[in-house]
Amino acid sequence: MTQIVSNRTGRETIVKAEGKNTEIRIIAKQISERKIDTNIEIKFNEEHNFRDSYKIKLQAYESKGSAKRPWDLGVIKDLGTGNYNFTLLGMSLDRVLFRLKVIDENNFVKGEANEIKPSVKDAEDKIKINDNSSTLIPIREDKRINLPFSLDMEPDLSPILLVKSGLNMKQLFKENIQIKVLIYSSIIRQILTTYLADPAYKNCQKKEKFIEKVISNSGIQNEIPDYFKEDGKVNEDAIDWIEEITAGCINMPIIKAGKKIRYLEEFKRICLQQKEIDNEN
Amino acid sequence: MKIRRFSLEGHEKWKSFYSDLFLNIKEKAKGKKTPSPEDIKNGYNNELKKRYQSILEMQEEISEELDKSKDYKIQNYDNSYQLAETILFSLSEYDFVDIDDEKIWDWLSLINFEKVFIPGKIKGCAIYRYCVEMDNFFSSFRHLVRGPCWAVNQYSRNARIFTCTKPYEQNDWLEQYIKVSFMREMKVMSEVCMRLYYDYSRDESIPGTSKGSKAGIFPRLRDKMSQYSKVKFLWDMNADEIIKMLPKEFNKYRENPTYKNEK
Repeated sequence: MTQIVSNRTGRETIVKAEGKNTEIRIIAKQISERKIDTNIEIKFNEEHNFRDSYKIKLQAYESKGSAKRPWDLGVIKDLGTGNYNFTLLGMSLDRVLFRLKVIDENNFVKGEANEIKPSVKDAEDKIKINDNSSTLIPIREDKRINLPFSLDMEPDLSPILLVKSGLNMKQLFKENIQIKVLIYSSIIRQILTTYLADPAYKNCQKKEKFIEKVISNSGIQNEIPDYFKEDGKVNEDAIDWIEEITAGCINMPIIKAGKKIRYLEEFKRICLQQKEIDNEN
Repeated sequence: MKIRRFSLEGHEKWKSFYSDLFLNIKEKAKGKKTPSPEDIKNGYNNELKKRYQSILEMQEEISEELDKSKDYKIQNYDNSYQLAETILFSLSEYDFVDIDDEKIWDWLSLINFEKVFIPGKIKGCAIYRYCVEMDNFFSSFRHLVRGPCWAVNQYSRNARIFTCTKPYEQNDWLEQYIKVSFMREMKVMSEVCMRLYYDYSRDESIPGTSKGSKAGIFPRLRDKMSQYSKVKFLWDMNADEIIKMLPKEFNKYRENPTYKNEK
């Protein structure tokens, strides 16, 4: 059941999204297999009215994994330039997230930002900000998943396709059309179903952008149906819409090796070709 | 002897032995989800016993000594806490992160196999109990050597609630507790759990407190803590402050008559 959280203590939301109002920005760089260097920039909006004595705490954690003891960033009065550097041990850059809390003298949370994703510095020290990617679903290798692929999805974060590391899945996904079509069919369907059906995603910041993108890829402009009917049952129109959009999205024309192809058609062609070979054998 | 680390070859031998043993038990269980004690006894046949003995005899050839390990003697452990304490004492010159290695945990499984795999007494035989899967965050705690060692390293004496069971038993408190990430990492919460749910006179957790829906038991504590953590910064609070904050339904456990202040 979704937990409903009221806000009687007046917690302020700290802006983490990239833009002119950003209050916290974290830049991370993988130094070695188990070491991540982080640079943290904080500049609180004065409208929060945080008192000088309020403490600032930042915690690194992994979704579905470990969490570190929060770092003490001092008090508001001493924020200064708001620049901090820390080194993280034993966490993966692929999965690390942060939560920021501003605390009063009685340990009450007065301000917070959760699920802060760091911008990543690459080997040449160039910062890659995940949000500006044009990729429909970013792919990430993960050794912790049990199945060959899985979906990492949380409200306000872009969905990520996880592929089991060590199985060459990332490469196969890029090169093998059959694998790509099978995985894409499952993942796009799952994301759309979650966005439409799960109330936790009602105000998700990434939802609209994703749906816009798949609709535009599919070229289908039907109205998005409600997932549930008034009697609480699943609306079959919504199921059909998800299927149609998913198929349309996978079948949009793309240029591969100088040729214009459609993945779904190519998939059918390869399957039928395989059937003929089997028959001959 | 000193504690050792399997070589790649030794580790493969161990994993192959245990997976064959597991499959043999599964075969005897004929599709049952949980094999009966009898299935486990029958599955661990003479051929597999011989195979275990041969790995044990050649273990020095297929493993390397840990330089800084102190002398390690296998003892009759009353519970997993004692098993972990003995191992951690031998490895006390190391940081835990440096020994958190599946080749060390599984070598310790081999050496202690007769303490952690007792046909007729064990109620499960899943591979992760004896061959650690470090890639799988949650199942890595279910290893019968690594799980207790991790808990004792993390929570010291307060780990007893998670390790008070026999070395061959999976501890349900540990299983329930490690699933909750904010509690798992917050050491003070292990003290809170000890003070509320540990029977200090019997040296074991109070029965029926790790799961279920009764008022005041662990799942309720977990839910309450999750709710409080939205409003309060629990990391800076001590056990007294946290226990005091709990609502009435926890009174029964808050007034734990067996509690001994060990500070």
